[in-house]
Amino acid sequence: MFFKLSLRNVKRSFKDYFIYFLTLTFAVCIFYSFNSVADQEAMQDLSASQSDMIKTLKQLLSFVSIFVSVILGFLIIFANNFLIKRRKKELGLYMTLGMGKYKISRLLVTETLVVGILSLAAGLAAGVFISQGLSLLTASMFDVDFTGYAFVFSNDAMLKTVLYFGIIYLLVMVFNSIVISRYKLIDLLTAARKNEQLKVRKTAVSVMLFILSLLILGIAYGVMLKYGLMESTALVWTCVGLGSFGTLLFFMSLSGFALNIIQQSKNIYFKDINIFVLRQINSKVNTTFLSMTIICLMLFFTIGVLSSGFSLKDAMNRDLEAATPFDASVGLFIEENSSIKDIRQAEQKLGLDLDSYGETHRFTRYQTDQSLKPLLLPYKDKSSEPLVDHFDQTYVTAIARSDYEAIAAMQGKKPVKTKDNEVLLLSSAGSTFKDTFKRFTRETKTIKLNGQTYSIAGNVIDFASSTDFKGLEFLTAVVPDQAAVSMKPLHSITNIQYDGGERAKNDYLYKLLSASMRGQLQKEQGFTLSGATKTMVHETYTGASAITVFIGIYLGIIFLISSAAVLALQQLSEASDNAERYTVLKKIGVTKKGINKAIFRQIFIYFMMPLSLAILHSIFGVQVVNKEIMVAGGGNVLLSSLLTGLIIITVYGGYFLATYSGYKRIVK
Amino acid sequence: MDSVLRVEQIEKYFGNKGNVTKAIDNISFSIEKGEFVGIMGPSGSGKTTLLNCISTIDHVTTGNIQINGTDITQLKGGRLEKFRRDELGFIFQDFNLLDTLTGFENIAIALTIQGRNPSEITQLVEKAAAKLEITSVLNKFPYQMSGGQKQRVASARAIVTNPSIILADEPTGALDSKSSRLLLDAFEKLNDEMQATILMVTHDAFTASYAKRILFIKDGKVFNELIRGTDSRKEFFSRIIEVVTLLGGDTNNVF
Repeated sequence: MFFKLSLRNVKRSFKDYFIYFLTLTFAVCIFYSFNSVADQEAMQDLSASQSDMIKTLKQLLSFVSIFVSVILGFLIIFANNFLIKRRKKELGLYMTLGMGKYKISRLLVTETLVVGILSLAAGLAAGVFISQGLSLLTASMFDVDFTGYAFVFSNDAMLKTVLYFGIIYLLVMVFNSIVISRYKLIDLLTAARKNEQLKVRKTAVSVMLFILSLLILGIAYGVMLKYGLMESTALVWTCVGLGSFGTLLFFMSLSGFALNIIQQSKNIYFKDINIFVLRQINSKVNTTFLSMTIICLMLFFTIGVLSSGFSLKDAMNRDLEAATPFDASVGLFIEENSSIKDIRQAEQKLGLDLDSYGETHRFTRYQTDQSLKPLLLPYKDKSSEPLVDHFDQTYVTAIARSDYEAIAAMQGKKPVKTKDNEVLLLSSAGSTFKDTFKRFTRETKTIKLNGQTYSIAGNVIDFASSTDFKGLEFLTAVVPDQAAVSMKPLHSITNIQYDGGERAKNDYLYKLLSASMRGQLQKEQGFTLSGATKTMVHETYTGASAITVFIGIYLGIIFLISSAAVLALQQLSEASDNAERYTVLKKIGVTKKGINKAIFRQIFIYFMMPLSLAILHSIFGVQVVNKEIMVAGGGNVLLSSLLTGLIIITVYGGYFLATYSGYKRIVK
Repeated sequence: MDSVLRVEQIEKYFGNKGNVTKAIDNISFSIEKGEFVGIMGPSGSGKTTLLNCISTIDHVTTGNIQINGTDITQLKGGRLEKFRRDELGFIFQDFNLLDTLTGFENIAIALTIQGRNPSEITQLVEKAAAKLEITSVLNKFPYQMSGGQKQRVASARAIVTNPSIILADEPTGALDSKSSRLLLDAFEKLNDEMQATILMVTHDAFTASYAKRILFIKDGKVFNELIRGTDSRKEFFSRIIEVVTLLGGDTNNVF
């Protein structure tokens, strides 16, 4: 009997619950999909560095999932609270009929359980399919070649989803019981009649607050644009704080003030029933500026992360070929107090026979006494500025002419001939410094290295003398062999082109080099190796960008759904209060079409308000991020913005339409 | 012919076969331009049903209702909505003001619904407000107004569109006697000075005494008709009371 009542309640209010149910299902679906990705078939056949990457991703995902479940927990409790508010009268009726609070709680618990189980089942079912697509996307992001495709159901992810959402639903039940136990019967029965008090703020105060909010936002934007993300973490957080506060002030003041402006424009104000629509929104912004602010910030995060994430991915994958001319390069840091002075010695000590890997060439890279900063500072531009500013300890490096010729030959390139008093300048960071170098070689004809003045031969050439992570050879001078000998040796490097059996060689070198990076080699052998394999560089860049994009998309979509759901639920829960107002409008002669138009405008403005400010924030935010990305090689902002726009329009627009039709149904 | 409203032999049945209630049983009357007519009757006499039929909210079962020469029983859908919007002005017992709008906006919205030219709206609202002496509350919200002020704002909303006929349903029902008097004085003024045609339903004899003519309805039929003529309001009031007593029910509202 009891169960029947709850079941019927769920069924009857299914239309009202639709958005709630939809959100729960979405949340479950996304939660499962992202957590199951690492278990997918496509992720099984990986190289050593790739599986490390996936491990990192999995760890990150489990952290992020905790954060996500906290957000979803809040969202679900919030949504549930709205639904209870709507049903106050019904609950009051149960109470007058003699149902105790304990029983009502039990009724609600059963209802939550039914909705919970249904949404879990639906979400998991959808998730199983979505995750297949997601795994394909992930595989392509990580550049994994998957040969066989199999349908995978991840038990781990399912258990995790059920556990996390089980906890959330349990919290909802506890929360409901507390709320119910605190209600008084009289409040429940008269709930519908209680009107929210309208807060009226003075216009002058609103205008002042508004101007203040614009100032604060302007300062935050300005500081970020000027100093960028890398200057100092404290500065970034201050700007984020300022921006958030500015947003809050913006929405707080907007209501008292925007109306006044619109009232001046008689053509808008006196058109249709805009008077009513404006007042509706105005009365709500007065009381919901806090949620508006949070939604705006969440949307900003979503837009920012999605669009810069996509362009980061794009940027990271550029110039990879140019930076990796050899299958592998292993380099030794030459230290004065170490007995190992040469890469060959290091190889012997490690028992590593690199010559058996394929064609090899060994050379030394030297350091000159010419600092880079005074050289390039006058020619810096937007793209090179962040790097040039930090070049205090960076010097022009040098290689001997004979080495250059051998390396070029090994790369299958024709070496550029130079005279004895000439140097050739090389760089592997050409995409960032392109214009800077152009201006530099146009204006500067000579360069002084270790007391010797050389004339510069032609332009700076895009050339990497070894395979390494991108853009580390900022500027290398090719000097005569006898001049190189007197310079300070920096690296001793072996370049290798494999002759087959790549996988095993790659994995061995990857392990060796990553052990060196962790400092293990220094401890055990007393020296440090640098360098990379071609695969490693590719996988690190694609992997790093893929992880960023992946986590970004995960959080972004959760935030997007959360904000859209909050907006939708707010609107719908107010729809029943507004139903009376719409009845009055009907009585004084507004047509059905006119009413629908008013509802549309009201919801549209309500949805657009946080979105438009978020878009404005993002325009600045993405610019700041792009400045950093340009250092990494520049990305395609337009494409990623379009992609982001598409996601937002689909999810946000979907919620908007669902709200609109739900609202119409309630008002009718 | 100057009849604003002509009601011809209308009947209204509720219920279905075997269990029919005749709410209106063959009523006919007409109202000339500039008349102020009251409809009185005990509860259940059919006066609200009659008003609903005239105001196009409800449909008659048989008979015709003509307003300004248009037979409203033949109108449907969009034309009906348009007719109601342009030709009728409503005043309700519970005001039906929009609580989120100021007094000014509550009046202006009636004009914006009609799609009037924005430039003339402010002037029209102020003129209507001046007639009803509510200029001082135009910038207030309904919850900052007294009941009488609210009802006068609602009345301003009804007259601002210059409708053919103003239909008032128990306009003083929710007001105290002082506010009622103020409101009715305003009605009288509107009627005298602007030749506004008013049809007012009430069961309160004092309210009715402001009208120029009163139709008494009982059991869905016109039971009696009183014309004020040259009587003072006090004399008219006494005559109304006589009829009410004769009518039987509802004396509670008088004594």
